[in-house]
Amino acid sequence: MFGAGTLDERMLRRSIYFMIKRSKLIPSMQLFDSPEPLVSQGSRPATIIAPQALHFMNNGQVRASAMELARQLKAQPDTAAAVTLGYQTVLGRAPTPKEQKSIASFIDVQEKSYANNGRELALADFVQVLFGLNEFIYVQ
Amino acid sequence: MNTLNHLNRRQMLQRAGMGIGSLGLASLLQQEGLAAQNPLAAKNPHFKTKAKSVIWLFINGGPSHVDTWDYKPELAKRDGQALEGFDRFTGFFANAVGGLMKSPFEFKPHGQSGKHVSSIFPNLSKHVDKMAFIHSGHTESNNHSPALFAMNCGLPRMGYPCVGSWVTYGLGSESDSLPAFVVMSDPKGRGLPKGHAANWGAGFLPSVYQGTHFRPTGDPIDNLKRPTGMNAEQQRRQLDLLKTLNQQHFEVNPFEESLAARIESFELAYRMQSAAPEALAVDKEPEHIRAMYGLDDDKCKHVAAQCLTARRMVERGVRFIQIYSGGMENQRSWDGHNDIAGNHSQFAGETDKPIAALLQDLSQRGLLDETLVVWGGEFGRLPVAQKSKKPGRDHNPHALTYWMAGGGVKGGVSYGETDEIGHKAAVDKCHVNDLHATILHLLGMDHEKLTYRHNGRDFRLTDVGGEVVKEIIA
Repeated sequence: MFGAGTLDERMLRRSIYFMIKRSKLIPSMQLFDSPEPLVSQGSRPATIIAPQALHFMNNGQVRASAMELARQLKAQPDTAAAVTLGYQTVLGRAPTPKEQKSIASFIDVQEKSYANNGRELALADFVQVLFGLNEFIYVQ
Repeated sequence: MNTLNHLNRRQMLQRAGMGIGSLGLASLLQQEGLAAQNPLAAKNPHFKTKAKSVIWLFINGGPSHVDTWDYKPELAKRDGQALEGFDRFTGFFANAVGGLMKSPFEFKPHGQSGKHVSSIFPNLSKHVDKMAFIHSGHTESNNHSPALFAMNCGLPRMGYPCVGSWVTYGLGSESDSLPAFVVMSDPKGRGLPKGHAANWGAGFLPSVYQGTHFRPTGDPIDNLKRPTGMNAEQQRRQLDLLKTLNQQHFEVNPFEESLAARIESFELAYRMQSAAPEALAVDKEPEHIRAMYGLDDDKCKHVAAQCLTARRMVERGVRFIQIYSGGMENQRSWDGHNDIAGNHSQFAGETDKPIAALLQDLSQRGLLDETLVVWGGEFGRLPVAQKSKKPGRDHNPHALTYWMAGGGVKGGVSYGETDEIGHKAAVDKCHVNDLHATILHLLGMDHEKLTYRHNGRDFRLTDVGGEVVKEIIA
C-alpha cells in the first residue's frame, strides 16, 4: 500500500500516507517544512523561501501537473469557461470578474508567444500561476 | 445548514476558526522573531567581530594528524615498537594493530613561525603564518557517521542542526540572490560523506536554515532551469500575473501577513535563476587566477573549481560554505586504512594547491579578515600501523588537528598538544564543543546565547559544553 516509499515523485497519494525513510527525505516536502521525522512535533515551523518559489516555477512534477490540468481546460468552449474550471479545480471557488479579466489577457499574450501548441501551453502557464498563489499554498 | 452550503472549504475553515492554522503560524513566526519577514534577513551578531562568513574545508574520512600538521619526531625514534597498553579496539580493525609507525613523509619547518609541516603540502606550507593550529582536538566516536555528526552538529547522533545552520539562524544571509549556506561534495563519483544530508541538515531549526547541497554533477541547484520551451519573458509574465492575483486576493482577505514575503520569494527565485549560474561561472575568471587555483590541473581541478566557487560566493554574501574533500570511506576519502602514504599523497595532491590559492586569493582581495577558513575532518588517525601490504592507520577519536585562518584568528600559532607520539590529546584539550564555541565566537556569537527551543528546552550547538579557545583569537 505504501510502496517502496520516499523518492518516487510519481506517488499520487497524499503525503500523510508516504513511508518516509530518514535517509531519503523527499526534497519537495523538505522544501515546505516537512517535520523532522525522528521525533514528534508539537508545532511546525513554516518558512517562505525562494527555493519554494523555484519549485513552483520550474519543477518538472509541478509543470507536468499543470500540463495535465491544461489539457482538461483546453476542452472548454472558451477562455472564461477554462479559467472558471481551473479555479474550481485548484481553489474550489469561481474566479471574480477582475481575476477573469487579468487572466484572459495573460492567456491571450502567452498563447501568441508560443510558436506551437500555444493554447495548451498558455493554459498550463495559467494553472502554474494558480499553484503559486498564497490562496492555494495556505488553507485559510 | 443553509449558510454552510454557501461556504466553501476555505471559507468554512476561516470563519469557523478564524483560520486556526494561520493564527498558529502567525504566533509561531512572532515567537521566532520571523514575523512576516524573510527569516534569512541579515541579523546583528551578539558582539562585533571580524568574521562575516565561513569556508569550512571538511577533510573527509579522517586525516592523519601525525602525517600532516602534528610533527612527532618521537614516532620515528620508536618506529616499529609495540605501544604498550594500547586498547586495540580504539580503531576499527582490532586484529590488524601493528607497532608504532613513523610518518612516511618528511617534516620541515616553514614560515616565520617555523611550523613543521609534512611534505605533502608544498603549497599550503607557505601559509602557516596565517594559520592557527589546534592540535589537541578530540571527539566522541571512532566511527565515520557519528564522528561526522559530532563534528558538524555537536552530538554524535543524527537529527541535530549543523554548524552552518546555527550560523545562518544566528546571522541570516548577506545575499539577496543566493542561498545562505552552501555545501559542495566530491564531484568525482566517490559518494557523499557518511550520514549524507544529516551533516548539513537544520535538525529542529526551521528548514530554511539547512544547507543547500550543490549537486556534484549536472545542475547544482534544484529547479533552477525554466521548464523546457519557456523563455524569460514568458516566465516574467507568469510572475506578474501571480503578483496581480495575490494582491487582488489580499484586498478581499487582508489577513494574510505572509503575502509580502511570498511575493518577495518569487522575485528572489527569479533573480536566483541568473545569479546562481553567474556565481558558479569559475571559467570566467582570468587566466592567472585559474592557474593559481589549479583549474587546468587534472589532479586538483575539481577542488580548484569548488574553492574558486567558494571565494565567489563569499564575495556575493554567502554566509557559510562547506567543501568536502573526498567521498565516502577507505580509498574514496582521507580514510587511509591501507597505504597511508599513497592515500594521503593523493588527497593532499587534490587539495594542496587549491586551498593554498584560496588563502592567497582571499588575502590579496582583503577578504581573509572577514572570512574564516577552517580545515579539518571528523577524527584523527592512530600512531600505530594498521597492518596491510602497504601499512595504513586506523581511526583515532582521541586526537585530531584543526587549523583556522582569517576571520580574526591569530596567524602562526599552535594551541594544545598531543602526547609525544600523537596518540591522545594531552595539553589544553579541545573538545568538538570547544571548537564550535570558538567558531561561533569568531562570528560574533555567544554559544550559550544562540539557542532554539525544542522538545521543551533550549538547545545549543554546544549542548551543555564548550569553552572558547581565546588563545587563537587575535
